[in-house]
Amino acid sequence: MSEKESQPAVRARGLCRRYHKTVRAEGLSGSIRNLFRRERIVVEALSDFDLEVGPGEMVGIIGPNGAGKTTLVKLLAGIMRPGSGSLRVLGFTPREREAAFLSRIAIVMGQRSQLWWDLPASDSLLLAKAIYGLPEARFRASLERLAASLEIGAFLDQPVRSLSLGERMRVEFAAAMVHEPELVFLDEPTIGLDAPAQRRIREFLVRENRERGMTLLLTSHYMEDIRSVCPRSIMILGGRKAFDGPTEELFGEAPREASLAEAVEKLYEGKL
Amino acid sequence: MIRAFDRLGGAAAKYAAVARAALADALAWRSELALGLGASAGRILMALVLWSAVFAGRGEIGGMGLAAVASYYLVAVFVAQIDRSSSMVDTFAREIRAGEFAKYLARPVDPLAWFLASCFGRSAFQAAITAVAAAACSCALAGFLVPPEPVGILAAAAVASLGLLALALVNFMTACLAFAFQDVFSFNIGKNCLVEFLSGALLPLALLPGWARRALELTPFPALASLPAQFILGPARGGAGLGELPAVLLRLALWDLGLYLAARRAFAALSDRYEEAGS
Repeated sequence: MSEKESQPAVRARGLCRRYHKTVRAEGLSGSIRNLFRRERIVVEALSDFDLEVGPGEMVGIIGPNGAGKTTLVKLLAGIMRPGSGSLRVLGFTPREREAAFLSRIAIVMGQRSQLWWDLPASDSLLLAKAIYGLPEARFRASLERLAASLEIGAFLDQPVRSLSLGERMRVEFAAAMVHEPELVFLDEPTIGLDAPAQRRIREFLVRENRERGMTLLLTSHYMEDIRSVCPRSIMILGGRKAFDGPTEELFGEAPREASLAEAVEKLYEGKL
Repeated sequence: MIRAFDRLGGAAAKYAAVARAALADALAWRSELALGLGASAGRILMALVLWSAVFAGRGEIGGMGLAAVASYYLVAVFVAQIDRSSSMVDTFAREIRAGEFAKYLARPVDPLAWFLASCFGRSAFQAAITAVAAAACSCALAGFLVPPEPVGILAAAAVASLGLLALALVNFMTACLAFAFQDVFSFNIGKNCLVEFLSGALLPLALLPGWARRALELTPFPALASLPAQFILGPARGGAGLGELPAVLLRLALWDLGLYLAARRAFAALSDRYEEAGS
């Protein structure tokens, strides 16, 4: 085993993150009171969270809305600073935002675009080439591979605003992964997509993992994403880890006749 | 040393690409180009009509004749129109509040350098269309305006460049306020009005009391309108002479350095508040 393979891609110990939220009283009198006095509450978004992900692993993160999935992804990608605990990703401390670290990761958020809306999709890819300092030959080879894999070649010359959601998401993937990152964070990447578009993205992720050994952390409310792509799953409930193990084990206890949605609902309610 | 140059070259290529993309983005809509051209020419002509009315029956106001004031406005409006960093405040603030700012934090880019490069690309577009409008107005009023000195134009360009950089840095700090406050748009509008007055784009600073003029000249804002116009008018017509240029450039460079350090500090202090809710 090489030194790189022996080192986990992600190692987190006792990770915590709190949010401060303002509580506002209802009604007009409450609004007037709020002008002078505001009550702030602390929300534990993530609490005492341990995580270890090996190189080349594909891990699904599931949990109900507000469970702490996105917070975890943002901590791992260096977008937010942990409140406490230790965190190393690819051997780096994410929040230090070292270029060497950021050049080896990618993040795709389903509802947040990094593309230039009024420019042809290819312009966003060219900008990604400059951002990651890719040599021309490597960029062309990577783009060719991604264009074939994601089937985006036909609309790269069209303005992003004119693309359908499914087409735009595939270009988002290409722009995020043109530098061939080792570790990819995906936060609800298939949200709002139709079934064929979801399937195409799942197939793409599995292929990237098989061909390049890419490590993947995927959050999704579509359990089919998790089941098809991630052999390992982590369930977060109320900012705490409720399950960490093989995906089939997580869903395995669901009754055969239950739909996937019903099984997930029961999982979240702790009935399985 | 070679590695440092490589890094510098890489960063220059990266932000040049951002500036190119911003310029291409500004060119995306033909109607915006036409409207921008019309707005620039309209603003210059409106100022001339207004000041012609003010000058009716008077030879000089504040030591300036109508031809000098008209020339002043041509330059002041041209420089003031170039700035696009004020509109970039709205873009960055919206991205911060909508949770889209993560694209700067999770990629190997410096948000401040990205902001400045975007401003440069968009301002280059604005400079081009405003220059066309200014040239058209100059031709239409050729016999009336004060003929500019070529050296004065170069001095004005240097002063305006440093002034625009200072304004872009102020605007970056304004955008950073979106990490702490929900609404920075009204703050931005208020700041724009203040800058327009302090720069002399609204009213020639020569018309202000001496103490106010001297105080304002210590700030970088006159470099956005008043100072470039004064260098183009030249000392013979009540403007500034080249002898004043080194001191002005030094003062502006120090302002730029101070504002750059303040912008870095503001971003470091405020970006930790980036706590957008989960999707």
